[in-house]
Amino acid sequence: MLKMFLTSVLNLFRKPATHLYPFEPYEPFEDYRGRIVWNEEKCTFCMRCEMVCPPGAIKIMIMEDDTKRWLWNPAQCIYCGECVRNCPFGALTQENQYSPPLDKSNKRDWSEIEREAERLKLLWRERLRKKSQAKKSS
Amino acid sequence: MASESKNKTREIQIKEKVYTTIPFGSQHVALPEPIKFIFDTENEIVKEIKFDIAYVHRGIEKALTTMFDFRKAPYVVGRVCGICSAAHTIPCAVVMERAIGIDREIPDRAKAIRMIALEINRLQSHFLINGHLAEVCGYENVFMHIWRDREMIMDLADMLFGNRVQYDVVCVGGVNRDIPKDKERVLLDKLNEIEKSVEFMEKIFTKDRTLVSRLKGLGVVSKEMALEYGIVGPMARASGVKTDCRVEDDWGLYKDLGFEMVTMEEGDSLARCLVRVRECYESIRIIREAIKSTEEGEISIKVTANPKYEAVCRNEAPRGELFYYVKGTGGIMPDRVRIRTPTLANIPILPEVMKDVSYNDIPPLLMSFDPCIACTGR
Amino acid sequence: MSIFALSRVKSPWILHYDTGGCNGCDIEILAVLTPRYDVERFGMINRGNPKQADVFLVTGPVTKRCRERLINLYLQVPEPKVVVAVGSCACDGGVFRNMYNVENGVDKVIPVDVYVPGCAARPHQIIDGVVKALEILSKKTKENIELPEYIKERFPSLNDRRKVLEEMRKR
Repeated sequence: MLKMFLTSVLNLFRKPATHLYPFEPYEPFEDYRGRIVWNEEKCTFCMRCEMVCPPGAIKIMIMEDDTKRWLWNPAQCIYCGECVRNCPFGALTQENQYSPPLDKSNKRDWSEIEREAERLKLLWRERLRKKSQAKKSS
Repeated sequence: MASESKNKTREIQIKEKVYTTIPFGSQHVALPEPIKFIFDTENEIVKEIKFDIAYVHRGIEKALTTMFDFRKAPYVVGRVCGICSAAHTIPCAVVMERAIGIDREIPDRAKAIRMIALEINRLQSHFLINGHLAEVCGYENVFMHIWRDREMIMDLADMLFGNRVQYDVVCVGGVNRDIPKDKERVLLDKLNEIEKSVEFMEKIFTKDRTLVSRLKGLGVVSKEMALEYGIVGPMARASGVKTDCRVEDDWGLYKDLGFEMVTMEEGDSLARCLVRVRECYESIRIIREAIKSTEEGEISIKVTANPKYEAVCRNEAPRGELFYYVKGTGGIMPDRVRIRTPTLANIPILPEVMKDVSYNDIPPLLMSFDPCIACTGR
Repeated sequence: MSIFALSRVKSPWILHYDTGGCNGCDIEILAVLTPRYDVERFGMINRGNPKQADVFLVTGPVTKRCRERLINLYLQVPEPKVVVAVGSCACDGGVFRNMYNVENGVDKVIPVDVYVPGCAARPHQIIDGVVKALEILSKKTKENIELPEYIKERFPSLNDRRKVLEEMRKR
C-alpha cells in the first residue's frame, strides 16, 4: 500500500511514455520496407517485376506506337520487396519512408487499369506475330 | 376425468421452459474479429450455445492452386492471420522444400534465423492475450502496462526484419535477410529488459487476490477430457498432457539447443494463463542460444526444380499445432494444399465447458481459450 | 464555426468493424489506443455503439457474408460522418484480390473518404489518416450531405430511409 502511494507521487515528476507523433517528427529505422522508387534510365521493360508481384500491384502498359509506361499502385502493394530482389538491372529500390494517406482525388480505379493493360498486351502480341510472319515470308 | 386432464395440461406447461436469448453479434467492442455467438440462458446461467465462425472465409486453399505459383506462396500464407504470421510462413516454405527434395541442404544459419522469427512472434502473441484477459476481468490499467511493454518487442522486429507485424523474411530455399553483428548486440541488450517485464506479469497473475479468485476453478478441463477431444497447445499442456511440436518435428535446431516443456496439473483458466507466462522465459533463452550457436555464412540456396512429391510438416504456433500438406505434380502450381489450424481443434470442447456457467464469467473463459478466428476461417 | 461543429471535431468517437481481414491492422488500431501512440489526446475512445460514433474505421476485404452487416452499420451511424479504410485489403483487395468469396475493397459497397495504405498499416500512418479525416469532418454539416451518385438521381429528398437501404442492398 505504501509502495503504491510512493510510486503515484513520484510519477508526477517523471516524463510520460507517449511519443507525441504529429508534433514531434519520427525517423524510421534504416532497413524499414517503405515506398518503391523506379529509375527510368536503367529499366528495359523486361516485365519480370510484373510476373513476380504477389498482389499484382505493378502493371506495364504498351501503347499503339510502342511506347511503354510503368504504373505502381501504392494502395494495393504489400511492401514485401520481391520486385526489388528480382530485377536484374537494379532499376527498383526501396526507401525507408512510408506512404502518405490518399484522398478521393488521388486514388485511381485499379480494375479499369487492369482491363486496359490486358487489352493492350493482346494487341501487342498480335503485332509481334504479324511482324515475325512477314519476316519469314520475305 | 376432468381433474386428470387438468393435471396433464399442468405438466405440459411446466415442461416447456422459456429461455432468454442473448446475441453476442459479429460487431462487438470486446472482440476485434467477426464471430457470432447465441446464448440461451435461464436466470443468467447459460444452457445452450450456438456459434458461427465462417464470416472470415476468403478461399485461400483454392487460390494457392490456381492463382499463385509456389514461390509466392509464403507471402500469401503470411496474411492468413496477422497475430501468428511467422508461424504460417515457416511450414509453408519447409513443405515446398520437402516436395522438391532439397530439405537436407538448407544452411544452419537460415534455420537459426527462422527460429528467431518464430520465438519473437510467440513473445508478442502471449503479451497480447494476457493483456486482453486482464482487461476483460476489469483491470484496464494492467492492460495498458502490458501493451506498453509489448512495444519493445515490436521495435525489435522493426529493427531486424523491416516491419512490425508481417515479417516476410522466409522464402523457399532459405531466408531473405541476414542479422549483422551490431544488431546482435542491441538484441541481447533488449532481451534483458523484456525479461523484467515478464517477471512483472508473473507477479501480478500469482499474487493479486482479485485476479486469482476470479480465474481459479473456472472452466476446468480434466486430463481424460483433453485426451478424448484431441486438444492442442497451451490448453492441453495446462491439463497435464505432454505434447509440443518443437520436439516432435525436425525442421529446426531445437534438439541441439536443449528444450524443456512447461506443464501444469489443474486445467483451469489460471493454469492456462500461467503456462503462457512461463513459456516466455523459455523463448528468451532459446533466442540467446540460437544467436551464439551459428556464425556468418550463406543464408539461402538457389531453387531450380518444381515440386513433384507429397509432403507434410507440423509446427508449433503460439496457439497449438499447425499442420500443412502439399501434393505436387511437377508444374509451377501444386495440386492440393491443406492447412489445419489449432483453433479448429480446440473449438468442439467449448459447448461442454460452457454449460452451467454464469453469464458474466463467459468473457474471461473465452479469452483464456485464446481464439484466433481468422486462422479458422482461412 | 458554430459551437456544435467545434465540439464535434474536438471529441470524435470511433466505431471499428473487421470485414474478414487477417487482424493485422486491427491490432495496430488497438495499439494506437495504448500509451505509446496515444490517440486519446485527440479525444477518441472506442465505444461499440454505432449511434454515438463519428468516425467509422473499416478493415479487411469485404467477404460476401459481411456485406449486408456493413451496409446496416453504415446506415445506423448518424450524420455527419467520415469513413476511413485502413490497410491495403480495404483499399483495393490486397493479396486477396479476385478470390471467390471476396468483393474487392470497401469502396465497392459504401462511399469512403480517406484511404490509408500499408500492410500492416503503421500507427503513424493511421494517425495521419485520422487527422486528415477530421479536417474533412469539420466542413460537413447536417444539411449538405454527400451521397453516392445513383442515390442522388433517384431520391432527391432524404425522407425515405427504407428505400435507400433496399437500393444499397441490391448493388
